[in-house]
Amino acid sequence: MTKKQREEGKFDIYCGLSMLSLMLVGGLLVPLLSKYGANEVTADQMMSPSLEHFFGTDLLGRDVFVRVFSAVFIDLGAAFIGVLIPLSVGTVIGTLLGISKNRRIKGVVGSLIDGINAFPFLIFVIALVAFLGAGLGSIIVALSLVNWARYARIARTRAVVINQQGYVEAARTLGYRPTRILFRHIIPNVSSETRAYALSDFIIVIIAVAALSFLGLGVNPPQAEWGGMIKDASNIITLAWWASVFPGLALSWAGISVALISEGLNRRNREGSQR
Amino acid sequence: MISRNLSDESLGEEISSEQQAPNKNRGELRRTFQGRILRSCIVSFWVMFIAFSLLRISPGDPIRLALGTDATEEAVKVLREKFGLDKPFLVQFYDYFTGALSGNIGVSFFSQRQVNEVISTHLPVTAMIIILSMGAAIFISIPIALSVALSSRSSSKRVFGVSTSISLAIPGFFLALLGLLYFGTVLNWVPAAGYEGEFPKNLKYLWLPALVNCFSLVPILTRVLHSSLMDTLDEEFVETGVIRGVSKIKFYWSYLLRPSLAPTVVLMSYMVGVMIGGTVVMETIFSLPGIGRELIQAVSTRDYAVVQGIILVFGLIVVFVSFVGDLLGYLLDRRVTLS
Amino acid sequence: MSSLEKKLLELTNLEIGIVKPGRKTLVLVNQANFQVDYGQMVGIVGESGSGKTMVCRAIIGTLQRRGVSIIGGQVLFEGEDLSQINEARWKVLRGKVIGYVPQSALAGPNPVLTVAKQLAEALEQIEGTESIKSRSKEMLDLVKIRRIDTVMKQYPYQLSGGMRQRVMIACALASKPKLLIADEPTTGLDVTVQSQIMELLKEIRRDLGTAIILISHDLALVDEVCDKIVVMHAGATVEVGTTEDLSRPRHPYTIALNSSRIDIAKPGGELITIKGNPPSVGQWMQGCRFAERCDYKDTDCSVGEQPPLFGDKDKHQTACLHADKIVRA
Repeated sequence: MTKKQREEGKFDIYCGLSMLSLMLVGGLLVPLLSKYGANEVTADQMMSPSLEHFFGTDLLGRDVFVRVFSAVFIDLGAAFIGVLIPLSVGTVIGTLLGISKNRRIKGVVGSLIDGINAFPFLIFVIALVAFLGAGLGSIIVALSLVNWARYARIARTRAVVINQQGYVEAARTLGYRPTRILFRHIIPNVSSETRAYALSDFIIVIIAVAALSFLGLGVNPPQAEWGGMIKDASNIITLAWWASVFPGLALSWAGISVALISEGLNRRNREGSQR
Repeated sequence: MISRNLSDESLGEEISSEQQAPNKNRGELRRTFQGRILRSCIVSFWVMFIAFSLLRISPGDPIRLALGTDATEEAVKVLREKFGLDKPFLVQFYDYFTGALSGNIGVSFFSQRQVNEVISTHLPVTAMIIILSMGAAIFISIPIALSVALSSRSSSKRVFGVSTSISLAIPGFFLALLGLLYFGTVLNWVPAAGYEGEFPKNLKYLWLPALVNCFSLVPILTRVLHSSLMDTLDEEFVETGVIRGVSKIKFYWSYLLRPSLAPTVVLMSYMVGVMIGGTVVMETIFSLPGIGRELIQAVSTRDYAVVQGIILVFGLIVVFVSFVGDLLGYLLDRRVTLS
Repeated sequence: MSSLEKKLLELTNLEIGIVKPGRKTLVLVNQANFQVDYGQMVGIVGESGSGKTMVCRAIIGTLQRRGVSIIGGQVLFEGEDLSQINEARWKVLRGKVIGYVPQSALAGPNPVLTVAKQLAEALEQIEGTESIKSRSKEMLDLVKIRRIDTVMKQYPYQLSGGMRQRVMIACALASKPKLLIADEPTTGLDVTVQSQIMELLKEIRRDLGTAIILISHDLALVDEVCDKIVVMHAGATVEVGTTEDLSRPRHPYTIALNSSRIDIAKPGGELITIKGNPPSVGQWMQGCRFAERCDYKDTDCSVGEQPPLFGDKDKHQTACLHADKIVRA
């Protein structure tokens, strides 16, 4: 039973990883090898999928297949950076807060974290982007400003526990410098928890990046990006469904591949903790 | 040796200590309740501060941005004074804070509408979508979670785990678009545009956005409900129910669902924030006159006063709902402690 | 009274296990043999994993829920074989003719129902609705709960462990069962509360004439309140007899249990523990399953099956090849 669960977890991880690498390889090779440019406007407008255009063409006659794959690194890259920054900032701040002895700082920063977390995620990001101006850079800044607080909350709780563990006490009695203890002993253990959350957060962020572009707050045209492509083609969906459905499928594909990796890892961890 | 005598004193002692228990519980309840209210107030204060700061700390001058590059210095100055942006930061915050407490959260940059008026006209649609999607999510989740929890086949748990995590990865706005294409264009079940505000009539416009919106909640809800059902099934009182021979419906309700409900209710209250986010997207796609669409419009016209006001209201709603959720979870099941 | 008339429950070579298609059956209990007379108080003693809880689940009919089933032998209750009856018949017997008090007082009552509702659930199966309230109060009075009106409105979390267990006993007695099974009913309770609950069980037996099976790992406790004791080890009954008989135990395991009792240990003397651990389920050795831990074992002990109970029913029975030798020694 438990062995079977481990096998299933492994299977999920392999599935997710191969889905993801397939997409990344496509994102690398398709724009290089294709005879059409991602922003190349042709006279073949709204052509249905064919051998010439695998995913058809959009309103301006651009090849949807090429555009979907040229967006891979834009979407995944923005989401990756949009997770990485809050992950690192949140983990460090949360850890410091967890091991801090100053009650006043703990109270003030702690309630600030709760305050930030109180705002509905997507709404807060939309508002921040509104003030920062539309664009990929603003989206990443907005995501970081909002999301660090979620990581900080997880890290704080974890750091309180880790700080009382025997090996941290031991390191302290050995007279190691506090910064060394922090970065060698505490943060690695705290971040195992925040990194696990980052994986499921990645899915939310991929969708959020695309949703912002869909709402007209994302990348500037003509740069190919899934959310923006879906938005541009949503008006002609009855005439050319392919121009919005394929970017949507690509977005789901990316999300599902990460979801499978996350589910597989969870399954393995759950099994590990049961033993 | 174990005492054979059942002394009346010791029995009396046990019972009299019992009689104090409810009072102790009531005191404890009041204390945790007070603590939770205090925390909600502090968090609300931060919510106000953050909403306030947005307008003041944004790079570039929001007034100039709003009016566009060809605005005269004079016009900028007038508007700046009108919104008190020329005063010191803390004074501005004091004005904003006291204004907000009396229900005044600003005036639109362009139209002369009060922001709270904008919100109160558009909130019902948003609230309706959220309530409908949460209701639908509960309706869908309970049978799924129950049947998976009671199933003895390991394959059903496997299918459940994979399908919930996959469905979380499908973006709502994409699903909405597909739904609109199929139900709107192909089947003609959804009106292409327009809206009627009266209750039974508006369901015609709202059912699809609510249904799509609930799909982001169902996977999470079923997971939490499933895991607390599994915990409940391990409890000894479930066996008590079997032995008492209560009816099937009663067994499912008071021996399985009721004791498992508290974590789910608490989760639902936390998920209101996610639901609000989803609703903004749905309102835009289905062109429904809710706050979300108002927000997107305000963002595109750079009406920052409206953006700020909407943010504030949503933030406060979430704080309030999670407070109610925690309390409700506690009342439903006293084994749960308030966080 | 003939022996047939006074016999309420009789277990004959009961065998319990987990049957899964395509796999080897995992046997949890075999060779469980004992009987309970009307109005008798019988204690079942054994270490955890000895199968005593499985035996009581077989009698109350809740094995199936856990994927466990009776794979052999008989459980005769008033002449009816409980291993053969269907769920419809169980609905009539379970919780009504055979009552049950759960192991853990803290987790036994449903946390979301008030005491009144729990009692009503137990009562509505047998009574008309109008009399439930007065009957509930009667039941609480029977288990010596005071300020009944207050307690009726309370939830289990507002009650102490002892009170909860009293409520559970009241629920179990609601249908006036002929047999009450109490599976370690005092786990997690204070010693004083524990003795009160035991006293209550004794009074119930005396006043209502209910036969009681008391399951415990504590020989001293059982010795104190029961008429008859059944000792179980590794899924088999190894010694059965009256409390009187068991004060002169014949099975090495019972002897060991007896000498490890804290209550009769000499002050300052060494506390004797039973050496080794009971064999795990599925890893029972050939012959007597206690042999490896036994001081009296010889080569005969490690061949064939677990020895059956020797001696007449109704009398002192022992499942040891060397019982005679041990008594003489």
